[in-house]
Amino acid sequence: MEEEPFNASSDHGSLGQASGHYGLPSGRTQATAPQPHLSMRLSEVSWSLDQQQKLPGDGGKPISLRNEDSSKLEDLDQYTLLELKPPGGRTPGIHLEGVDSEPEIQNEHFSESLSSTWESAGFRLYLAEQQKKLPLPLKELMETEALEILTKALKSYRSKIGENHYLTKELQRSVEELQRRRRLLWRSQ
Amino acid sequence: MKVKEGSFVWYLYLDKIYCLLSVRNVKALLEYFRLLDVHHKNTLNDVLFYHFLSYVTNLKSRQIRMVFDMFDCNAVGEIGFEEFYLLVCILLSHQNHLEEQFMYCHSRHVFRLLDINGEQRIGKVNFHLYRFLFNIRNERLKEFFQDFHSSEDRRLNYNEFKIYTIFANEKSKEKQRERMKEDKRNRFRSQLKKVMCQIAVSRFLRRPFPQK
Repeated sequence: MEEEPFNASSDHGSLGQASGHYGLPSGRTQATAPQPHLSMRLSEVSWSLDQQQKLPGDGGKPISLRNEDSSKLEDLDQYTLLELKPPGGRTPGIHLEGVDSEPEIQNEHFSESLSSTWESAGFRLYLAEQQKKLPLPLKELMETEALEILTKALKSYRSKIGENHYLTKELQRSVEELQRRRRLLWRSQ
Repeated sequence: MKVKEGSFVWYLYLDKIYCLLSVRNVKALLEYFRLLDVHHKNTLNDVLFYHFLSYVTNLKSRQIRMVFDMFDCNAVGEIGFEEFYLLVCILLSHQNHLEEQFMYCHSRHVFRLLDINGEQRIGKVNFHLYRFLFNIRNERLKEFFQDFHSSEDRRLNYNEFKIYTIFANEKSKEKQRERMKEDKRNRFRSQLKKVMCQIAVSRFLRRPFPQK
């Protein structure tokens, strides 16, 4: 049996945030034109269907995750969004290329199917978010334990380095924050 | 050494073959680490580390300080998440009686931890000092030195330590197999007794009453 390297990452940025390492196929996706009458939510979810082809002369420019246009997507990380995206790279029913030129009647049917699709997409987003989060009982256990440990540590800090030291104050703030969270949780229960 | 029952670390699951945590467990552990990292330096200082270990285990103060010194390889007075993760894996392997398996799978890391002087050699003293963590038995060490170890100073370099871990792991597996056989035999005996008892009772009940 080979040794496994202990490469547990402590990179805070790598968990739960948009990152370029989550499998965007060399920055190219089926980019399509957004519909102006669609809600912002719709555009948020379809961020990966970027305006690559819409922009003339870009010619296959890789999509940057830190693009200012996608600044509203900070809440949604790429992993969640990619889960919604089917393997073929096209989102079903959201083939928006050249929609601008279609007649209004087709647009109505289209928007209805889109809204139902986006409802299910929204629900899937919600599910994906919930799966990524830690379960509440576990979080509660962690916070309770951390609060006990930090309260004892605060006593040690006060006795060893004094109350006015900046480390003591930092620790005190964390303890107070945890206590506040616990109180909110108890009230909600 | 025991991990406190009902504590967060106690609930983590250590894989029995690789002696590591799954990604989900590591994610939860990272969140826990961040709660304890009140100064936002991605490290725990000695005070926080001390209170964490004294809460989660039944180690004494002297032992906790020894563990901290062992993990603080750079002597900066802080330990990062990687060392924290390694420590949690050691605690869980001790809890689940997988110390030999752990040492076999991660011999390089264990050797680096036990080699506190940085001499690339570890002796009986090192083993004895950290016996509460790795549960290295004296008899096994003696056996190993008798059978395998060639140099006179009775100190092991990394390759010899690796052989020792293979040896210790095999011995513990043998013992486990014997224990399982013994358990099976005991279970079979108790079942046999039960069946014999039932047969005797049923025969007794079928026998006609003696007439006067």
